[in-house]
Amino acid sequence: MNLIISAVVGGLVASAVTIGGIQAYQGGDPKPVSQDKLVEYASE
Amino acid sequence: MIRPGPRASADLAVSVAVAVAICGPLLLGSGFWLVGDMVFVPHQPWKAAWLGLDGALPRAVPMDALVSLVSLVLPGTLVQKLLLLGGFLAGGLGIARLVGDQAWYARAAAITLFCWNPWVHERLLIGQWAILLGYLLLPWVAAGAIRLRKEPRDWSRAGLALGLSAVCSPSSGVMAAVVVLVLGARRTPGTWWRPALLAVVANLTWLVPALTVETVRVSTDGVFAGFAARAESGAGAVASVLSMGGIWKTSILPVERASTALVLLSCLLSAAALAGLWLAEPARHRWLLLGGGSVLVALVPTLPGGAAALEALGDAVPGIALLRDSHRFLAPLGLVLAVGVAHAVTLVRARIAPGTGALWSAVALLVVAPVLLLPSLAWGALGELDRSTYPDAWDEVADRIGDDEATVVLPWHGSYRSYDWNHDRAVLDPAPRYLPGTVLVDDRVFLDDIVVAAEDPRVRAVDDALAAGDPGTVAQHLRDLGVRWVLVEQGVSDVPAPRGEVAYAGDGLELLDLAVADGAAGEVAVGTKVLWPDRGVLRSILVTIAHLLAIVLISSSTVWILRASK
Repeated sequence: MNLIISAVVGGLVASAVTIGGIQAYQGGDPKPVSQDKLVEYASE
Repeated sequence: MIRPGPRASADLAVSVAVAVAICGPLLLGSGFWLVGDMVFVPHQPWKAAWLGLDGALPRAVPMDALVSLVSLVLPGTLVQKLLLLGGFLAGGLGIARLVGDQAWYARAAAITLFCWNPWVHERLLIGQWAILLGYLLLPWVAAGAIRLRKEPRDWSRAGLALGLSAVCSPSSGVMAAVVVLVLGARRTPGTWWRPALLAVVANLTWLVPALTVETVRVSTDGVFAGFAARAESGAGAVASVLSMGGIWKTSILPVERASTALVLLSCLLSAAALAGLWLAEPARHRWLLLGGGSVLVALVPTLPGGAAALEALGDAVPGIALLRDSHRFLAPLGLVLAVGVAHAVTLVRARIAPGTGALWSAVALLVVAPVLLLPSLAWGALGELDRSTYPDAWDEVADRIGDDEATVVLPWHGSYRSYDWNHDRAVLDPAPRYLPGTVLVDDRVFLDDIVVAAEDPRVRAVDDALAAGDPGTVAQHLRDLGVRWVLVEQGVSDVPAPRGEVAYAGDGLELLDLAVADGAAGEVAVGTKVLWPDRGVLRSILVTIAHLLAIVLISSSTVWILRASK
């Protein structure tokens, strides 16, 4: 039973970390607010 | 009251850890976080506008009054630190107290989920600090409501929490009122008057100015669609909202929320919390009603015909405009999920026995999952929230303007700016809070495909004056309105300025004095009705009474609680 539980929990953690890592690698840094596309600022 | 002891110490430790992990960069140095609607200034001068007496919609009434009073004795940078740190501590300790009958790790799971989720990230990055504070007070509102349901005569906790929530923002006051009514009202209708009365009295501070202002034009054209919750990933808008995300402002989204898999994993956490709530919470129906209602309000504008229906309703009931950013009303779901996850942890713990010891890892996972799924919230959104310091020019300009004078701020193109000294980050123009007197900024909101019209009639009057084009004519029209000063924020964009004498120039600011323009312009007609609308004695009295009632509610509740705790 412990093995199954460990596998499930470990799988969830590994999934979150791996996907998050890939996402961060592909997406780069979070978009800065200054590059806002929804609100038009005076500098644009 | 938080009883000192190991339980409170554990909750405090987790809450401090979460607060420092989020706000650390702000706490460790001087300067401000200036982003979106989050504007703090070194010293915010007192104005009648902070009480809702200026003819504009009371969006930050009476929080601006409170910040102004506190910044008389404390520097604004310290005020911001205290409010944000205090808010997260209040939220963490409050949710821990709400599930106080459970083990420390269950309380820790509630703290992390409540204080560390996409809604918190998105509201922080959009700069809605006051609404975030209101959210962080919700556990205290819920605790007060539950107390009120059990002991109808003990209204003090609910009264205090409601009063403080309404101080934060009108939206916070409304959400707190809903929480009190859902969690605090008994099944017999005859007993509803007590929570309803408390909710109304607490919210009078902004209700009375809003209901008595005569000239404000609230536009709902296209705003519900413009501010509707959105899908952050391929999982869709519903999955985003169920996991506390989905804000309309896509530019602030953390990268992990763009992942379908991570959003679905976040939904799994929400599902675990809801299961815990369903299986173990005695008042599950009330909590689920609260959470379900929050999700529904957030999702209505995204449903087919939802935004149009709200617009049609808004034409008949202007107060519906309060719901235009309906995603913010998702806040109570965070409260519901936090309570649920504490139950879920307790249920998992109860199944730990010889042979299932590995379930401890599931307990640990529920505690850290919010952080694991949203690391972007850590350390000032991973450094995105850099501190900023105002150039000295802002003090120089403020020193030249009198309390009874009017200033127009250019460029006249919305109220958000990107200053190089603020890392080119979009922020609400600080001039209305930095400068004394009446300060007018274009309050139109520019969205992708629509422009939300100006609400303040004084702004529309200035708009007409600026339309004259010729610098001399514009200056004369502004003088006719009672405007003496024009502040040109240079380096933001090129803007034709009216003719006036340069009273100060430096660090990107130019202050023009229209009173001495052309050498013979004469006196400015200060007191012109357009810029200083006749508040009316009755309105002033009503607004004053509203604020006094709120003060009485908060202070009497506090005294009552302190006496009861002795």
